[in-house]
Amino acid sequence: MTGAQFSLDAGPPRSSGRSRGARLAVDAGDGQSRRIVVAYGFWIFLISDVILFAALFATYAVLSESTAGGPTGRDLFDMRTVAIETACLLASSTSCGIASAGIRTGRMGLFHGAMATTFALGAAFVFIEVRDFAQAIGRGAGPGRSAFLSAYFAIVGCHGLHVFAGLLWLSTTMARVYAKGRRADILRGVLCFGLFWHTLDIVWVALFSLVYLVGLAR
Amino acid sequence: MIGGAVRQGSAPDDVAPGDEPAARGILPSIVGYLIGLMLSAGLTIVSFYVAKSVLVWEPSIPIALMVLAIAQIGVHLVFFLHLTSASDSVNNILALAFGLLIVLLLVLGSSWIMTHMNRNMVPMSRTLQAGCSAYVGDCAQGVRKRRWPIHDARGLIAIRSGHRRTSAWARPPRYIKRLPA
Repeated sequence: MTGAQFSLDAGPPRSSGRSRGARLAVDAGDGQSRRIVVAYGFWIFLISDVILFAALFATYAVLSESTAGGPTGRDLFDMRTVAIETACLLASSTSCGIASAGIRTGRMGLFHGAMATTFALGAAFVFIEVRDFAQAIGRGAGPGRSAFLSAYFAIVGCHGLHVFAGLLWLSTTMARVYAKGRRADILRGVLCFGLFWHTLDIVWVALFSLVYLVGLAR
Repeated sequence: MIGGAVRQGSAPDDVAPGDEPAARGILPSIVGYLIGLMLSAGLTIVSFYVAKSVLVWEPSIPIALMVLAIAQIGVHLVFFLHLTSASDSVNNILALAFGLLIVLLLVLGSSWIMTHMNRNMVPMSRTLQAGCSAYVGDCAQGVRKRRWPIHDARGLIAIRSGHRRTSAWARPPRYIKRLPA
């Protein structure tokens, strides 16, 4: 991936003066190349996660008409709630980006403030979603009612679980930064968390457009 | 990239996904995120408007929403994840492109196949209507001829009526008794 990585597999050292051991030290260290490798690995994990969501999307697309005489999306979805949830996630994605800009330039106050904002907005999102689910189940529109509702709860619930896990990760990241400062491994964790959070927002864009708004328009 | 083996010790050729250029100051960085916020908020508002609008031809609304979602995902990738077409993030782009290929195959393939199978099935409304008659005996909601339940592609019980069995696949499961004509 990086030049230094490549040279490990490239056999004996070339005309360069450095020894192989020196290059190994570069690779195992905490330098820029390590940051790239870790973030790239996490990027590939995230893409596989997106593929998981694609499978759930396909399931939903197939089953979205199979309401078995039960409530349809039009009966169930509330545009205002979806708009508030969307605003929460979009704003939290922005503040997460501002937090990563803060830690990159060494402004720790900005980092912690922006991360706390991200947490508050993410928690608000999860709260609204859980309340929504509880209401739907209370009205007899739980995941057991129809194939449509099973698919709906599966995909939206899966995204909600991701956001919840992201909140846990966010708090541990903040604590690690607070306790250990801008160490290379801590900075890698912050970078991966940012990738995760922005990806969740991207999944939500597909969710609110193709599940909620298409369901309401139908 | 292979050249990197020769000039070791220099800066790596690649940029980590999500990373901004290290030289960028705090202010341009925040402004970038705020531009992203504005663009996606605008696209979101348009999406919500289109979903309820009477100005848009109704059958085209899902397509319009899809296009708007793709545009917004593009905004997120550029302004939040800092993906560029520069050669230093070509690995990130390639991984994403492969993921996108799988996503498209999954979603479009499933929808295509399942819609096609669905079209060869009895409509849902008739399935539900006739479903009770198959089990209860005589709901008699327009049920005249001999019917038997079959499992359709979605695992639901469907009733195929009247026409001749054309394949063994359409044969009724053994545990379901045929109803008298």
